[in-house]
Amino acid sequence: MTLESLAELIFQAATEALGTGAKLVEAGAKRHAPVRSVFAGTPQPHIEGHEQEDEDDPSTRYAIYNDYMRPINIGETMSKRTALVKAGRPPQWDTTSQNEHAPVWWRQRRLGHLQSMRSSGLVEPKRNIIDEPMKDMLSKRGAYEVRSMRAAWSTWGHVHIGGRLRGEIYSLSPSINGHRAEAWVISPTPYAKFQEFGTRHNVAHPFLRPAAEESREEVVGLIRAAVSEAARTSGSKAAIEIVVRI
Amino acid sequence: MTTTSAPIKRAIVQKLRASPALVAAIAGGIHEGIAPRKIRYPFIVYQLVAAPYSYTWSSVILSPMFDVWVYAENPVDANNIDALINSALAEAALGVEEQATMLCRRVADLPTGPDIDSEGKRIYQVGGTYSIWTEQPGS
Repeated sequence: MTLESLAELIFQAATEALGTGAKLVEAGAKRHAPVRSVFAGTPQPHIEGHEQEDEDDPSTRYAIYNDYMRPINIGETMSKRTALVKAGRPPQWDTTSQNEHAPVWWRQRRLGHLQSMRSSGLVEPKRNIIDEPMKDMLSKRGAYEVRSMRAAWSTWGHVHIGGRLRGEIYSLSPSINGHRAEAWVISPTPYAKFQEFGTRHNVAHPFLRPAAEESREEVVGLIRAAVSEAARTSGSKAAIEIVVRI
Repeated sequence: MTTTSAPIKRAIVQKLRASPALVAAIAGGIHEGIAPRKIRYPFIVYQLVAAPYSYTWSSVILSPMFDVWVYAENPVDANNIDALINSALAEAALGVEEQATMLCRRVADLPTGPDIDSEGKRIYQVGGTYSIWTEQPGS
């Protein structure tokens, strides 16, 4: 084996390990990404540590989406949205006494809807959300965000409620540019930079850079191991000094 | 017992306050995370980004990263103060309690556009990320 082919083999192994490292960083960034809670019973403000969060349950998200969002087209204007919401309201909504508080029927309707969906096999919750309703009820803020479509986002035709920033973190496959390999972890959400760096009005909640820093040693270790393995399996007896910079 | 990144924060603020030119330039003071709503411009905001620990046989190395921002009503002030911050912190020997400073340098400029504050004023946000390495005896 020539030195060039050995170098090629090692570089290929290192690039693959870099891709694995990017996935590690992606997972770390998703762990750190701040997610505004739209459900009652979850701590506010919700910055990190999502142990009590129920938004990981996709069936809950779909149920709420079906309950509130299906009649409304995301492209509709605000006035049309309002009209559609009003058209879909049940008769027990007392229009003479509207106030800022979420009506009680929302909870009843949602739970009833979830119950019917579960019994019909449309939804299979990971846990018994009917018997533990509090954590799956929308908070006042969450109800507003769902109604106003602010909490809705979609990927490849699937609509989700909440968790947009966390759901839109991706690791790209490593790209090779000459003798340089790069793997990017991106967060294309429009407000991601405001969360990462903060603004005059909002404190920063960095999620990409902490993930990269925390994973640095692990990524270096992965690349080092991949390179060593490639050098060993190639049958080469050459002594190789490896310098990894990330 | 390992000390945390809190003494490093204090050391950064002390170092910034030790620069008379910088203190004279910032009317709104230095704040962590976010500044109060009604405060005079310009001012500085700093924030811990990440603080990974590395354990060696005999010591603990902290390598925190801090974002240090200037908020000002015009870009000239913002950039001038940012330069003052950089000169105060670049390769500075921070007096961190129970930790020896190994490195303090700016590792990135942070690109952001102008913003509108709660009173409708256009404000400029300029800053950078500083990487600091400290070492302390391990437990």
